Amino acid sequence: MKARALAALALVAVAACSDDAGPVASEGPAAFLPCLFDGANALQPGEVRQVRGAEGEIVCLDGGGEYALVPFFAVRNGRTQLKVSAVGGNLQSASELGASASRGASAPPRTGAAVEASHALHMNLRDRMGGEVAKLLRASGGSLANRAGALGAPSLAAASGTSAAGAVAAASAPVVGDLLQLNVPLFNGIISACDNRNTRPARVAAVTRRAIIVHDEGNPAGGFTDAEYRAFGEQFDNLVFPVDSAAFGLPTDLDESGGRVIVFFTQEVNRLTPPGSSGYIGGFFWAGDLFPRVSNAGFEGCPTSNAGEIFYILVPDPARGGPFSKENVQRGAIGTLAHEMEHLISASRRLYLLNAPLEESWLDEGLAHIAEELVFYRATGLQPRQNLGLPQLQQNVHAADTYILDNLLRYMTYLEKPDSNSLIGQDDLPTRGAAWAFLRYAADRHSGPDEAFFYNLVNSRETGGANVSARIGEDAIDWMQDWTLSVLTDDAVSGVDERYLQPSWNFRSIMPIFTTRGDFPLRTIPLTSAGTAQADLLGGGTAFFRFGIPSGGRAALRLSAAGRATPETLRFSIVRTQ
Amino acid sequence: MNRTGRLVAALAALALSLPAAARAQGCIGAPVPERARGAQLQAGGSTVDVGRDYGSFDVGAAYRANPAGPLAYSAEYLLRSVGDVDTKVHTVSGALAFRLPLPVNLLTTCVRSGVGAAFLSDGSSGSSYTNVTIPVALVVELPLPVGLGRTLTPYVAPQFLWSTTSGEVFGIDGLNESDTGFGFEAGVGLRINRVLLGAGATFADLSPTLGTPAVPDRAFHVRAGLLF
Repeated sequence: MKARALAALALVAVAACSDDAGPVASEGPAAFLPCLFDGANALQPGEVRQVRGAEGEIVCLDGGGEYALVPFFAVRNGRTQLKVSAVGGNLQSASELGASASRGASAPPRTGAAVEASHALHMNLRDRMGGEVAKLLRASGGSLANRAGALGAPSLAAASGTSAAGAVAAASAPVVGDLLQLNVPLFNGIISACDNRNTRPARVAAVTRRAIIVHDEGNPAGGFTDAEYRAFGEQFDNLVFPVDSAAFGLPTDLDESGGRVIVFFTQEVNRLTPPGSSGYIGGFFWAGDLFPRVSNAGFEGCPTSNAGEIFYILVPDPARGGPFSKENVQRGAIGTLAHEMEHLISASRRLYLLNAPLEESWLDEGLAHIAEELVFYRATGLQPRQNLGLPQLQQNVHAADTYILDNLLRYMTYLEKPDSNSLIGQDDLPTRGAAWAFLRYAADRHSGPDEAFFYNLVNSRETGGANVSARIGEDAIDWMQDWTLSVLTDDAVSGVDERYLQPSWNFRSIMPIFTTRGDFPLRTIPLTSAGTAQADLLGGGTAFFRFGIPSGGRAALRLSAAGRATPETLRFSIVRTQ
Repeated sequence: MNRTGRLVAALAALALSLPAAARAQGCIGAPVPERARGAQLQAGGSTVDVGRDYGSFDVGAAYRANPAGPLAYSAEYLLRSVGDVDTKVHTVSGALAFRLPLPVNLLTTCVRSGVGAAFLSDGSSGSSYTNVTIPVALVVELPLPVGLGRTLTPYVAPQFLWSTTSGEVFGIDGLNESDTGFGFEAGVGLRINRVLLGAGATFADLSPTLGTPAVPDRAFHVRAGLLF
């Protein structure tokens, strides 16, 4: 006989010595027995059932059809990892989900491989930059309340409004031909960028209403002419600045340049991309430039700071070619400006107007990619929530190529590996692609205009998931879970609830042109009766297990986490796809 | 001697006065007189624990015989409809009881054993398994004459159980588990001339992973039938 009382006592004794969260899930086919007797577990096509924690240890389904089992690790730390396992009984394979590509569509100008290469470069840079700013903020810590006062009222005047139509102060803007000495921060990971001076001789090439376009005198020959620089300035004035400031607010004007932003075209950006790289860095913004050169009551000083609003942008290098060709640099520059402008607005307003910590990188980057998307809408006259697909992009090839292509390619890198990435994960391209798509989803789902939604996200004292939760009035984790399911179901599964749709984009229509097989690149994991399907989920991460049930049949699923009982933070959505 | 004491003494005297050949044997589930046979229909319910508890509705029939001598035997069939989807489990069992020659005639004491088998075959889930359970019970009953041709027989039967299950569940082979445990059965039989009535409850402590054992975790049945 099984001495259950003794066994129970032994279990208590073991549990008392163990840090383990729960009992080991039972193994073998016997664990499926409850599903022999469980009823009323049929789903209609498009219907979703959500379970969490211990509910997920065994799930019974009736009625045949095809399904996706979508686990979601509901924690706000995107670096936490959890191994999820699923086994099933009486399963059969599921068909490929969703529409195929319209073959013959024009190939994208850049491939996913190039995006991946850019990813590594950008991550490296971002990590080093983030570390530098974190040091400055730590050194400035405890004096947030004094920051605004430390700068003085005039420099904040421009930022205190929310409209792009705000007056531009006459002020001390340089004029074309002025020679400047601008520092380009160096992030070598050894010497602080604030101590590692890298002054570049520069010439003002154009001054427009909102931009001061500056040319690095050391730039390679064959670059932009002053007329072309001026065209960038005008595009910044007429497209980027109005869109970004309407969505996120006006930036500060620390250098009192009449509300203008310095756009520094410098070959120092080119040097961030080592020779032989297939990707490249198109530009960057560094929050260190918003710090004073000398410490004051509110801020730690950064001696190399340009003490103003400035971006650094790639320049043409015809001798190097590839992404450094004049045509490619020209193509990417405006989108990059829109992106960096969001970072500038967010950082400057949080530092000087809101006395708030800088935004978490996943959300800050997601918002910067939203800026690129907003510029795309403005440039094309298209609107969100129109389920834009390949036909609309083909009708707006130039704008798509210039403003939205990078977002799509980043999102594709997420789709290719959703089970090893997270929308709140470390700052890499899949995270950025996912964060953009999630924010677009959240804006579409949120009642109210887009601009108010994004403005409130940027102009918040909160950060990350708490910031999103405060804006939507619900736990952001819940919306993230719904979004992960929408990644699979949108434009692929009929009959699903609206919260599992992405109203603005028909990615099933667009993405296949980026893949060699011409299919939707979402990675799914087959779940069969033959074995165990596993995924290592990051916090906020998901995976897509696909399976079918024989017609009229019944199936059982058993789920575990790291070989143990499923914790409350592990949630599962099950959707019948057909 | 108080009233209770007098009643016990009278019952004891009655039991001692009954010739052994005339006693019914309830060890096989109903007080069937010696050299008699009976058949009963039975219905009831049980609780099946397979990690989660599921109730069942049971219907079935039993044949019970008490030939001359210390042996009696029975055979039963039950159709068990388990859970929310009425999954069907067929249960057949046979038991052989041996009346122990103990000097105390007030009580009848038997050793009973046999075998029970439960069969489940569910095409919709690709599941098919067989459970075999062998109980060994010590049955103690107290036959009480309650009128002419009427006997009331309460009984208890602690038992030792060995059970094994093999087969496949949801298309996955490898269900092959055994367990031993204790069980307990208690009930009462009532014979009114040729009519046999009864009710009983069982409890068994077997591993939940055995599926639907022939002896469920908790069961209650009522029975009605005739002697012939």
